[in-house]
Amino acid sequence: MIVSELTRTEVGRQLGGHGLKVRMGPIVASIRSPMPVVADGIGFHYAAHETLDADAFADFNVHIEWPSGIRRFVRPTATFRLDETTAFEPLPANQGFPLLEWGMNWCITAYCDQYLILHSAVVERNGCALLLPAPPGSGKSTLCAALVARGWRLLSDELALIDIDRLAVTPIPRPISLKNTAIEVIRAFWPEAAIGTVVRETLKGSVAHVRPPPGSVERQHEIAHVRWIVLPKYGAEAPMTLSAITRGAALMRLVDCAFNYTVHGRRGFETLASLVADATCRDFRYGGDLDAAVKALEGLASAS
Amino acid sequence: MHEWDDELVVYDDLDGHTHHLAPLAGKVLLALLECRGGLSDAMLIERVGQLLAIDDAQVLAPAVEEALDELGRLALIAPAAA
Amino acid sequence: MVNRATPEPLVEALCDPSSAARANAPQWEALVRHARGSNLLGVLAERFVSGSLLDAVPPAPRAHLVAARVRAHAQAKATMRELRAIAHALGDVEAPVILLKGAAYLCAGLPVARGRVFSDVDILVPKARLAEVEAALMLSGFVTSHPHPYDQRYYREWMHELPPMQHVQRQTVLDVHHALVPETSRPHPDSALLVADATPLPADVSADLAAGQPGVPIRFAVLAPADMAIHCATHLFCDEDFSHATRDLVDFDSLVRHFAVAQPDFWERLLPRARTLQLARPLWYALHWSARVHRTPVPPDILREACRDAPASPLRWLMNGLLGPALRPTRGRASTRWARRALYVRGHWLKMPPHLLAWHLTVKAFRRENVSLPENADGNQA
Repeated sequence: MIVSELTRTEVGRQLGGHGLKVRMGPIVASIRSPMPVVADGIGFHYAAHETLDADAFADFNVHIEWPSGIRRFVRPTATFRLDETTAFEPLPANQGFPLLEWGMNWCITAYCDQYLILHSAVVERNGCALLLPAPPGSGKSTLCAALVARGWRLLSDELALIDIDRLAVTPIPRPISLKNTAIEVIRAFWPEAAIGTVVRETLKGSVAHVRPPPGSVERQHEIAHVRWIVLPKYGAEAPMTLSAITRGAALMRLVDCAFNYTVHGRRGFETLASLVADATCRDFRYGGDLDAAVKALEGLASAS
Repeated sequence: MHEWDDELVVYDDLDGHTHHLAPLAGKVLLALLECRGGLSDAMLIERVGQLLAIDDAQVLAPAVEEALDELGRLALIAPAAA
Repeated sequence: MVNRATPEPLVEALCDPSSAARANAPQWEALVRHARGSNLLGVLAERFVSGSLLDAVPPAPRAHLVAARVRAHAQAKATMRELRAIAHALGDVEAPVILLKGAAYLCAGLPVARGRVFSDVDILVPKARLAEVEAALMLSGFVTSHPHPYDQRYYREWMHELPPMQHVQRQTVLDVHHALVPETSRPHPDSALLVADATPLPADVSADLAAGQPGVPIRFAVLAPADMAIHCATHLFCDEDFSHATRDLVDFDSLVRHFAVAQPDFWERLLPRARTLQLARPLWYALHWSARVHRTPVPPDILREACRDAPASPLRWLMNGLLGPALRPTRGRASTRWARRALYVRGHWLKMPPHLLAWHLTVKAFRRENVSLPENADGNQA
């Protein structure tokens, strides 16, 4: 059963009760929250995701809570909790859904060390994955959304889970997070995109999420091998360049983008070395013309 | 350790750091590893010259010296005990 | 006979991993949650590995065990790196340095270290060498992590350790102790006895610590077996922070099981040594609870003999009522939270005379509210 097959009332009932269990790639989150913004956010963004029975194994039991009693109305806040652990400061209640997304990112980066995890968007076409590793603010989510708009399969917009034994990316298709001007850029570029409520004045500015295409969610069990590594850097005025980068330099950039490189030690090094050895590595500077940027990446993909 | 084209990337298991070495420093490290550290300066320069196909000790000597400094700074090599 | 406490799934799985084989999905989920909450996921994983049972675990919970093993393994490596750096920093200080707790278990190659994760390195040095050690560590980049004058005074006058030190580049935390319990607490175990009986590290571990830095002497040692078990008991039952209680009791059980086999005179020495160190009371608590919760094979005569150091009945009933819930794996039960809070106050009570305790808790409360107080405890008569 998928989330969109549940009524809004049923979603709210499970979130308020034993938890709504949602499969996100290799993990299952059991989500509890009494907050309507969270129920609405999940109903909209996770519509195509599989939901599991109450007695299925959940990897993470997470809660998005608001204060009890009168304080809920005076100064409404939302708090993220994994079991007994509160990972962040409370945020204004209207940020409940983005908080769930950030909280899930935290669970995965803090506990899923069976993978080597890179801060990277990943999309796939014809069985080959394109990795877009970059620090925040490099525009990787914008590029990711634009490529998905052109039919690439979404593996992840934020976390590349590298399966060390198989040297492949394990998909975890979740909503694509867009910030500030990127929201309008994607609306213009991809008019059919299912973009949720814009939440303003978060720590990251205005935030909105794009619902992952159903096709990407249905194929979330299919791993993909990395064929291209493109290191994006956004500069509004800069001319677009897609230039070769040495494997050594690419490896060092991947090291910088990895959440748990040190945890894996020498195995982490060997894994990244194998990734760069088998992939075409490029530095990518791009500016305001998203259409040209996507064409350049598609050109790279069809040429190699 | 991985070598692609001219560059060398090394993982130091002792301190967990990863280093990306310029071609010359890479060759110096390779030459030292080949001989397990037991090399005189002249022999080192000669070996690095062979690896890089440069046959001019005078040009190489200061560059090798600099590379040794860099490798020392990265804690990849330590001077042999006297 | 000791009454068995209600079996906890986590404790059962740690004692006998094969008992988890019949678990269904919700039971596996609960097991992973409790182990994660008690910081025991890595230990649990290693128990499955020792029993060659890891592959029999269903894939979803197995992923968590595999991840925890990766983390524990990385931490062991990081600890060895840190100890190399500390050995380097203390190269010119000719004082014995005794590793405590996690770092000691790791370097002594004890089974208790398997999968165990911990955050700080703890060392013990003779009090007379404390200033020298502190200076050498500061020269190598360790700075105090508690610069507030009240905290400095709290540690230096009343505690058994320097204020925790943090390395400016590596961000690692080091606790330098000169005693097992605070200066102000009632028992006064003599640290000189601990140093005199300390065991050197195995040769291969010393060689590993010296790797990459020829000429640096490795002066690390670990506590003798009985002292190590007594310290573990003291840490568990005299500390005000009971959030690690479940894990600490697992440590105690593992240490005792190992030493009972590896050290023929372990049981003979244990109680007399604890009395000499004035730590027989916490040892009794640990033996009692470890036998009760983990079925630790404590010989009945030892348990009877240890009972002579148990508190009188009313206090014993009270403590049993508190310790039962407090030793449970965290699961947010109200009884666990209340028991831990009561024990927090007890832990402070054991550390300090009442007038100092009152001052300390007052300052802590005001500092939480950001109110400034005069820097005067006037508690030196203690």
